[in-house]
Amino acid sequence: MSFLSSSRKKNIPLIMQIPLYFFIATTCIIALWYGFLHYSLFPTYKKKLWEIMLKKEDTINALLKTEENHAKTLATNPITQDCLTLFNQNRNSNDLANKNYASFLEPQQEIMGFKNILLLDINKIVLFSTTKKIPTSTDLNDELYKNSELTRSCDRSTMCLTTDFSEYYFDPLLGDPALFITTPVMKNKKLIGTLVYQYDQQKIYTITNQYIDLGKTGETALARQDDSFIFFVAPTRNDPEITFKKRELSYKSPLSIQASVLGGQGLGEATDYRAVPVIAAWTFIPKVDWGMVVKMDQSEIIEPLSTAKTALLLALCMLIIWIILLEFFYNKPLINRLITLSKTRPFIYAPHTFKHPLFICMVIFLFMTIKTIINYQATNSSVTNKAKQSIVEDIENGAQKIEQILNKIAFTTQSIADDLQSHRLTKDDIIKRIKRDLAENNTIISITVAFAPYAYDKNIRLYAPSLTKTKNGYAETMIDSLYDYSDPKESSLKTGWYQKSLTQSQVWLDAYTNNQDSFPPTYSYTFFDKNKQPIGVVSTAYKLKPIEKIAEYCSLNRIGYSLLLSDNGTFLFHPITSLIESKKTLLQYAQENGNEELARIAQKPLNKVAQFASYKSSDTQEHTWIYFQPITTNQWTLGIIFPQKDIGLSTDVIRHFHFWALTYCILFLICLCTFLYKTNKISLITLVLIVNIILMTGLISLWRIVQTTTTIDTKSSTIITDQASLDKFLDDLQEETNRKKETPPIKIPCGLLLYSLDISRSDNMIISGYMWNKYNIKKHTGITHNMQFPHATNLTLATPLTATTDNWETVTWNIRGSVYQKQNYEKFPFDRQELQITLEHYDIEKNIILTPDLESYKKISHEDTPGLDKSFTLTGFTVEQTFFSYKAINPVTNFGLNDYGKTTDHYQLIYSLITTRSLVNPLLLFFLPLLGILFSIFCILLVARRDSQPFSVLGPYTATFFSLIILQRVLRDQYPTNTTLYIEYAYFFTYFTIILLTIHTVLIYLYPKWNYYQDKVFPLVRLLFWPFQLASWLITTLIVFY
Amino acid sequence: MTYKQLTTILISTACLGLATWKLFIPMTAKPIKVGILHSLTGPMAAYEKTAFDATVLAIDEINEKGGVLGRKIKPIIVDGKSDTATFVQLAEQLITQDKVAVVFGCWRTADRKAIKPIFEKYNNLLFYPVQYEGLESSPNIVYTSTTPNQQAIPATMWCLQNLGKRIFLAGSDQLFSKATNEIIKDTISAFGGETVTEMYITPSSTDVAPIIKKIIETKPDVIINTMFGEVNLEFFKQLRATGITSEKIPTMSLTIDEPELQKYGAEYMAGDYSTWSHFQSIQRIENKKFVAKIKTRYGQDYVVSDAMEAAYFGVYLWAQAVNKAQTTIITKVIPALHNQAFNAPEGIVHIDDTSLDSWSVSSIGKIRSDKQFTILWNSDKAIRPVAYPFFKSKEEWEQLLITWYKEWGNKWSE
Repeated sequence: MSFLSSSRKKNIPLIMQIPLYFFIATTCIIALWYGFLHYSLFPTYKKKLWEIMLKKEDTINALLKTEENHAKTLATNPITQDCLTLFNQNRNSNDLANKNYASFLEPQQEIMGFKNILLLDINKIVLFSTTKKIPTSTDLNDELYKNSELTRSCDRSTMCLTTDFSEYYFDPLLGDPALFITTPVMKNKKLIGTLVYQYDQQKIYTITNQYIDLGKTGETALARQDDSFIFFVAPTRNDPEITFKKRELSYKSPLSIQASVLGGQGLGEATDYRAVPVIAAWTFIPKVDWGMVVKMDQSEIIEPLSTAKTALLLALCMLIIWIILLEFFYNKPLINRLITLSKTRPFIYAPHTFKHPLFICMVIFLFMTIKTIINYQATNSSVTNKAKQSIVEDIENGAQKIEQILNKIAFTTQSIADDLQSHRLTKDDIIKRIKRDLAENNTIISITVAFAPYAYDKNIRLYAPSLTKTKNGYAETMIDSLYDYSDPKESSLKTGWYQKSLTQSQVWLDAYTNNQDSFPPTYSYTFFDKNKQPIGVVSTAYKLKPIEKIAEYCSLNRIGYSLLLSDNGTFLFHPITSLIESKKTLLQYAQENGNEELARIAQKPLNKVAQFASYKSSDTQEHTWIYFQPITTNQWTLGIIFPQKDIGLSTDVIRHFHFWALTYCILFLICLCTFLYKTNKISLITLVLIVNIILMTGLISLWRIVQTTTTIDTKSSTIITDQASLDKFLDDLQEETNRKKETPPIKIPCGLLLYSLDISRSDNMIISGYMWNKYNIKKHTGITHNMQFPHATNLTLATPLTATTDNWETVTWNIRGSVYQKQNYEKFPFDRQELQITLEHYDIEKNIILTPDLESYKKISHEDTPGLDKSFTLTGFTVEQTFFSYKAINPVTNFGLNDYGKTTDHYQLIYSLITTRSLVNPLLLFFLPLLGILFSIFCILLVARRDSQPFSVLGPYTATFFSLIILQRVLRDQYPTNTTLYIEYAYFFTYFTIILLTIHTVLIYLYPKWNYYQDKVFPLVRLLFWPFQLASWLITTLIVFY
Repeated sequence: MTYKQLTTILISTACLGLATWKLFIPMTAKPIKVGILHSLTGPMAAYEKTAFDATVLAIDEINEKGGVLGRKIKPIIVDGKSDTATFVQLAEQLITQDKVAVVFGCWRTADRKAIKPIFEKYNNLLFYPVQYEGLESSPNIVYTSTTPNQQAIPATMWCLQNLGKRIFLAGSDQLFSKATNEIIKDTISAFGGETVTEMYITPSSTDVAPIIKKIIETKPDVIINTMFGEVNLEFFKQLRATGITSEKIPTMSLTIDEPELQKYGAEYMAGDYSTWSHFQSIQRIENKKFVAKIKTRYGQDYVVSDAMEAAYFGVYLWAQAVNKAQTTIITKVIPALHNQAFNAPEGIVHIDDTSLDSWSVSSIGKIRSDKQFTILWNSDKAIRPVAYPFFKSKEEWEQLLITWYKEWGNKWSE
């Protein structure tokens, strides 16, 4: 630096040098500190969390080992063995033995700290219990308990003669979540029963709830896997209510908690259950099959880094300011230096200067443009492939689950047939056996055993007992007394299960409903005699609902929908129920919609090969993917349909890629043009014109990118996309109410149809339309038939119209009035607004949840804008999507009602409209006048000369300044906000330009003989006027919308 | 020095630095040597090759993901030639000469018993992938397959609950059959069943006629079969020839798996039962992926067995333990192995906290005509391993082992 040269140094007093060295030293130290933190912070915390995790893991494992040893000690104690023998012998009069064993356990409880002890006999009947909630004689095989975690653990323990840890879940007997260790009790080498040891989960919570060394946000999360979900099993610091809340388990790019419940151990940066970036260490606690994550928020970890960054910037600023000050005060004035420089080397206008740096920059920017485009393509392709893979996995999973259900049905049917064939099952025991199998399999509705003519008895022609599940038990029917199932003249719909099975040895038949009859889906299997002659058929009718549910859940949390097709392509499940009811095939559907591509694809499921295909949807005109997964058991096909654009990169990522590519491209083109100018290929005027065109095109492209890639964040709500997502939300809600032991929520279907909506005021919208509620006449007694809008400022509900169909009473109101609506104008005029209408039932003290009445809408896809009348228009906006969603709220009051605050009160049903602003009005009202002002300023600049009267120039500048103030005032009035509007930045730049030009005019007037300024700078101001404006807008757009 | 010269020097230094870094880094990260000790020739090769293939697959997968501690795993493959003496010699060679960090392998009980002292002497680690009879524990052997209470006991219990109380025990005159049948007898007795009789066939013989004759005479409800090898085909063939079908007297086998069915066919065995921790037909995503990987690598006809799965996840468990211990030193790896879990094809398995047995899932399957199994019962989650079932004390079990050892002429029957 020049001022540090020896000749200059002497001129700077020591007192001024000391701060300079101080700033240099401080900047260096902070830079080193920053560098150290940057490279060491995450590794340090990772190591720390890993150590904490290992310590906690060891402590929990040691605790579980101790508890297991306690259970074993009790089970092998002769007193336990003797008491259990005694309980086994005297089941009715064992009060004394009870007392004796209880007194034996008392001191043990002091030492071991268990919660309860149970003694069971080998048939899982409770013989002794320390809790009244599980009385003696309770049979764990009972319908209520047989699927409990305790019963399963007892089964494992007895089957494998070893101690077993139960899964942690709500115990139906205790009515609370409980952890058990079951251990077999042996005496004289014989199994005499099982000891159940309930240990206290609080002991584990005590370990996980220690936050030493975990800062402000650190916590430990414990969860377990249950099918395709994750259940949290302990409260966390950030969510004390999280226990037993579930999250979907994703096998793809697992988050820390997901990796841990799948048996993994690891360390790294992850996203936690709150979707917050964290540093986490995770492991698996094997005995209880829990995943444990010890984690801290990244924001807390990088806090010192942010401080260091601020300090570094501050120090740098101080240093630069100090250097500038020194330059000004102790060096030659800068202006003089510039004049000298201009005399010796006309650096700005001179050709052939900076040619090489420009060329290098040009090459770099070209390379970066190409690299960004290639990266974008590669990332997009990778994300799309991953998403497709994930969809395939979900469908494969769904297909597997369906196969499991079907295999179980087939196995039950075949077992009866096999046992009849091998005479293991006698004819007298058929009903007993069917009853047992019906009890064991929830999916099966009825089982029929139909013998061929005279096969059951030489004197009886037909014999076909059938047992059907009813609400109260079982209903026995003799099919042979209803119709002759062996008669080929009978309707094949009636007798297909028997006759087709006889010819094909086994057959799967789909459900069939017509005006007269209704047949559930069946599986039939033939059994034979010694000579391989068919002697009868076992037929099982099953419920389709669980299978439909699996098919429906396959598309959960995805844009798109799933479908299930029978072997001939008929819809067994589709979100549009009319397609199922009309027994349409996919091919017919495609042909009716005139979609040849889909029709061609519709042939594919019949090939029974898993495959992807794409077609253009006739509804949305979007390119759509379809994937088929065959179900081999009965030749069904599970499929999923989803739009191609929705599985690619997120709009944010796309925008970022486009922004960078465009920036590099603009920089490349500017460098190229400047290079051409420097090599005398184009003139200066041409250069400026081209740069203006490049910047203008860039700006328009940016606006286009912004328009197509801006979305509204709806993560905080549960959006109802279809019936499946609604069912899932309600299932979760039901679980939560069960857990809190609340009464089951009353679900009231609710719908809305808007005719008009006006949002001309910034905090209010005026609506008109209809809304309706459906009340079940039998179930919804004592409920007021009324609604309320919590955010309404002035809304009237007209006298309701009531109509009754079957068991449902539909109450419809005409609504009109205004509702409070906060809008965010920050990105005006490229803003999107989410307009929300919150719906609430009148009886807030009751456990009511409003559910969107999806059945009442012909189309429920967001793009079809359900809930809006065909004639609906919203001036100045385009409605892109409408949907229902549930928003979680935390009530701040109970409104003076003791019953308020239940689970249902924590969710509000919201009807949302996602709108995009039409650009015509903002452009005409606020942008064109601004352009006019800028153009006026530019014209003034063009006509102004060094001999012009200053006031003749300053006057118009002042006029434009005031015009701009008025324009901005109008803008602010119309779109009030606490922050700066995007368009306002353009106004600020114009203010700034006017101020600069005013100074420029003053300089010209004050220094008429300052040739450098007059000759070189003046023309430059004219030349750079538009590039400055355009570049400012461009940079602002990049920053605001990035 | 001119600007040009300076630039040339700078670019050359940078290139040299980059090249050195690229070359030097892999050179410094020496691979970790691991031994694979299986019979690749001789009569046992057909069985052991399956476990060998699964081990190699796991090693390759780990290497593809970057190895262990940033180092690749280098397998040192040796052939046990189906000979116990060779196993002993090669085990010592792998540990002392090749200095391997761990050995994966071994199949027969006799081979395992013979090399056990070597691993204990040199304090090395063996991952043994085959189901075993228990009654043994070693601080240097990780038993990744099942213990008796994960296979024999639940199979017996299931037979007693579903097939009948009168049980016939047929086995080979080897330690696995003898010890397993002893445990089965205790289980039958503990649950009020009846052991009709137990009969053994010498390992090299295929003369099953006496056993068949006895079955016809005693008419048991169910046969529990622990015979090993080709004799199984003969046994089922003759059983069917005498009119004993799986419906009349079902057989529960503890040794018939998918490769056996592939080899001998399911014609005579369909309808009977087997028990393992892993079946190829398990409907888990992890299993489907594992089966797909095996088939992609070794051909579509290749079938997957329990031992293959145990060999596969054994490598992963060792790699995880090394990562946790941050070293391959045995004294640090062994403690890190305890409670080490892996999401295996059968379910989440883990190594016990007191022994080196693994907690495995227990399943029972019915043999299908397509040489696969329909799973009838599954323990849902991993079962605690018990090497010494508590019908007898550890001392009593060990005394029994000594008796058999003496009966076979102071050696373990092969």
